[in-house]
Amino acid sequence: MRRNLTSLVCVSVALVLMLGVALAGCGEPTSTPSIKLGAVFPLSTTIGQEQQKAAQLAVMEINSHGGLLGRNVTLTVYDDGNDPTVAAAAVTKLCTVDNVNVLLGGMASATSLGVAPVLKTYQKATVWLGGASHLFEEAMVGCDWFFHIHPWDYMQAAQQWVALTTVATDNSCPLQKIFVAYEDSAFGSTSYALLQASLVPLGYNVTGQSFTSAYYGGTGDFGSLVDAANTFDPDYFAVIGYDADILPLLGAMKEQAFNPPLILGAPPSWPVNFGSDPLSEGITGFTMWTPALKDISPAAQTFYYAYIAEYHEAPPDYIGPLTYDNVMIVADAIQRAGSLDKAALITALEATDYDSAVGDDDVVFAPSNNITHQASFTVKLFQWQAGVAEIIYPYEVATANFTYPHPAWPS
Amino acid sequence: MKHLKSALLIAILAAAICFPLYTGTYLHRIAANILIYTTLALSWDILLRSGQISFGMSGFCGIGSYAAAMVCLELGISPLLSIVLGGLVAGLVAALLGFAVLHLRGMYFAVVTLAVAEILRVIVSNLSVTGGTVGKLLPGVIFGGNSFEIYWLMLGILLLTIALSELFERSRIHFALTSIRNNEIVARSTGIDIFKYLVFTFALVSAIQGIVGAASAQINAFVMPETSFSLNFALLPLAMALFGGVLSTPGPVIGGVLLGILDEVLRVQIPSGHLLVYGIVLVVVVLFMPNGIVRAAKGQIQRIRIQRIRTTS
Amino acid sequence: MSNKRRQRICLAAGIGAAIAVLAFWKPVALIYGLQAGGLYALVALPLAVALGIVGILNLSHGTLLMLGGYFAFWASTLWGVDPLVSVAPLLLVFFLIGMLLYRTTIRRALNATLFSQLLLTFGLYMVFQEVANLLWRGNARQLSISYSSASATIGSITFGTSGFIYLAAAIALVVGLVLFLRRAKTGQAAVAVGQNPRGAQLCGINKDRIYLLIFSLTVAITGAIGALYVIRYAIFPAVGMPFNLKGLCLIAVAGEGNLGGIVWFALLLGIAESLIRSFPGYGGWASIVFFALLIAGILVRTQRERRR
Repeated sequence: MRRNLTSLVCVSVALVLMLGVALAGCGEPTSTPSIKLGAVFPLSTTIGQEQQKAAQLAVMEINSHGGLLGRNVTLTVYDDGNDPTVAAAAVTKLCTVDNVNVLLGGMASATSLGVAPVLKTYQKATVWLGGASHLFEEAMVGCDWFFHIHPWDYMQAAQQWVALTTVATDNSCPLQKIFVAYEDSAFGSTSYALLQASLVPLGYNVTGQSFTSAYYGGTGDFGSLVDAANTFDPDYFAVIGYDADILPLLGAMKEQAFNPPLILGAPPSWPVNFGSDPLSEGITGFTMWTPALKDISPAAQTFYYAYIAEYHEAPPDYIGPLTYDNVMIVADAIQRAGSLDKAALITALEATDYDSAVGDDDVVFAPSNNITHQASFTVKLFQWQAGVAEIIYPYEVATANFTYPHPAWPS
Repeated sequence: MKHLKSALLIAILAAAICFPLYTGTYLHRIAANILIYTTLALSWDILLRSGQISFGMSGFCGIGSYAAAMVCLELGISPLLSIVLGGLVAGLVAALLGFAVLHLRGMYFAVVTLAVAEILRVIVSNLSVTGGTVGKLLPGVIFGGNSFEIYWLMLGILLLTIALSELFERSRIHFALTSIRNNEIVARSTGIDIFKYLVFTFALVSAIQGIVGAASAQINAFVMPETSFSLNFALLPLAMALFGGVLSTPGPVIGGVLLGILDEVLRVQIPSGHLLVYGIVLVVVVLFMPNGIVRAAKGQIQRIRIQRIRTTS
Repeated sequence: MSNKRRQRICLAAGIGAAIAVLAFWKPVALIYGLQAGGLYALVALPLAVALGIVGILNLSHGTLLMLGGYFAFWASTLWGVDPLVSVAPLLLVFFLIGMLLYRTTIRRALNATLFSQLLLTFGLYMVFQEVANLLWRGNARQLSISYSSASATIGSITFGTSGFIYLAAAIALVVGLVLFLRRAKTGQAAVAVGQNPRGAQLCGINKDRIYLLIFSLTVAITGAIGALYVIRYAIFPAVGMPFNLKGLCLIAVAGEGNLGGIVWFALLLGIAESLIRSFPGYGGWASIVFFALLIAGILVRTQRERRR
């Protein structure tokens, strides 16, 4: 009896307290007129946490150099919960409660789609990082205050194909027969569809098989898929999946003695310590950044060591430097605009010419299919060699030469 | 006592309706989201009264979303009407489905509903007319994005569901469902057409879920298999109904509102790891308040009253 | 020969013929299907025992497997302990964890309604998954085990052999469980408790101790399976849930007491999925096949029961 009462009281008090604290934190007035940046990241995932760290690193650096326009810069970060409705609410809060000057951030396409209507309601100067789906681009047609960082899905597909064909031609690698193993959600299916649409008319023999990624409930069996690929005997075998799928698939290829001359993986991030697994040798991939770039690009090097100094670990993947670039591009524009007036900001952003931490120099905004302000970040071809992800293409930022064909599987 | 209860209910209703007038857009959106899940929790509970546990809510939400999206895009139907149509389509599909699977009971029925929801998601992902895995954009947010009207829409849907739930509780249907739940053989021997009641209830709650899904799609202004058929729609409302107390109207409603607020508060205060606290709260509640918060609170009030009677007499 | 016997022989012949056909037509699908099916069976069996005897649907089952997998992963990464060697210590550790779980949480929920049990195990699942998320992050990690990609060649077919660990373990487990439940005194007592808890108590069986033993046993087995899992697959916090689902479905089709049936259906499922995936372009339908088989199985089973 008493236990019930006590626990009921405890739970109620706890709820009321938390509600009180939350509401109290809602309408905080700002005392100093700092420059306010607002971002949403999927904070419950590792990628979102990495984004937050990179963004905060950028803000710390800016403030340690005296801020912008002589004022302090604050970054308000909210969790988008990896859910469109929550993301929309979070961005609404940034616009109405926190009254930020510029919006940035974002990650997944679904959350970006959820945020689109809110962005269009408040029409703040926005430099949005996330969302690769062309559907999101269609949603942002005609918004001259909207700037986008991440390459669109069709841009990535086109860039990847150029990279691959150039390297293949320069190294005399046949590319006629292509087998694609793709995961069956939006990410994999769209990539495969784009690949087929662009390659089949050009006369390439493209076939593929889908699998359910371990992240979406798949239970990781690739036996039949590898067998089908083996029968097809491709020149080029591509995997479009997530980090949890890469090693099981490579293992299945090894155990069926299926060794195509060119193997490529395109996961958003690679498994932890992939390089230390012997199966990684010779595997190629596309990315926007690998640690190897710190030896080629000064901006990449500065970011890399600053991140390590602050967080005692290396940035896990390209999202870190890209988010850092997101903040820096905004800061650079604010500095050049000389004010927070939206029109001035837009003009300054349009004149962006930025050397990025992901290794791309002279990043500018130019029109893409449906919007006018798409950043010119490009995808790079890299290859795992002796445990290091070496950049192969573009040649201006290459850190090693391409090795072909794929070596024999390690015993 | 009865007058006090009615007065309290009217006060709560008035507060709920006037809520947007005193709060900002951000809170409107949070509240609308909470209302979505609360409605789902209540609709799940209505079916539960017949003894059937359903894990298929995500499927009917998805059907409602896509039906509303397609009629909006292809036939130019207004968003509000498309929401109604979304519900109708979901209800129809449920009725057809019900004829096939409603003779199953217990865990079998639950598992089949989950399987059907997943099958629907996979089918929609593979059809190009529905946009495949990429999804489809809707012309615009319903009501032009006006957060007041969106909130009132979701509140209206919840109130409708509450009315339905109370109707079920106070009419003949209540006895039919309860007897089916408790002992089917006895129910059948009293002449109740169990199957008819089950199909009717199933179609009705699925229609509600379709309406919620359609409204959600119109608020987000897009449909996509991953989000429209999200398993969050299937699982979170269950936790809310259980937390508040099943087999009643106030239980799922209070559970939904409390857990919704808790979730948002935790997300803001503890961005990465609020799910952990959420899970701990659930475990603690089950251990100490297994019949839900509402009944525990009622029980406590009862005890206080009895104590008072004892001390005064 | 009785009708039932004739039915059984026809069924066995049919299965034999089907296997023979597959062995010639799609041998790789058959082999990998058996391996995948073995894993499904391994995961479903402890869940079935917990449900059948203790009467609890343990939604945290998949996360227990995940935790066992992480134990084995770190044991291998930090101390170089091979996962197969981790199986024995994991059995012990998870038996203790199961006892702790039972005493602190599960026992109280047994007296409450089914809904409370669902909510409790759901809460546990969230807690376990989030703890794993906070400790080890959401990224996938995989061990580099030399024998995980061991292969053999028969004729013109080269295939992986390490997956047979799952099949072998599943067979060993089901045989062990059936022997235990039918021959051992404790096992028989457990069956009695599962069928009629009050009746068994009247006969003098200590219901609580049986529940404790059986529940802890299922948790122990699940944790140990995690070690087997990391031999071939990547581990990450959310890895357990799909297995939960598939295990649940298998139990629904076969019946919670029918341990042998669960293994058969698991193999059938594995082979069917593998077969579908061997046709390029139809891979996306593999998950539909799973659910369709599930629905068909349930409908057939309930039809048969109604006829009885």
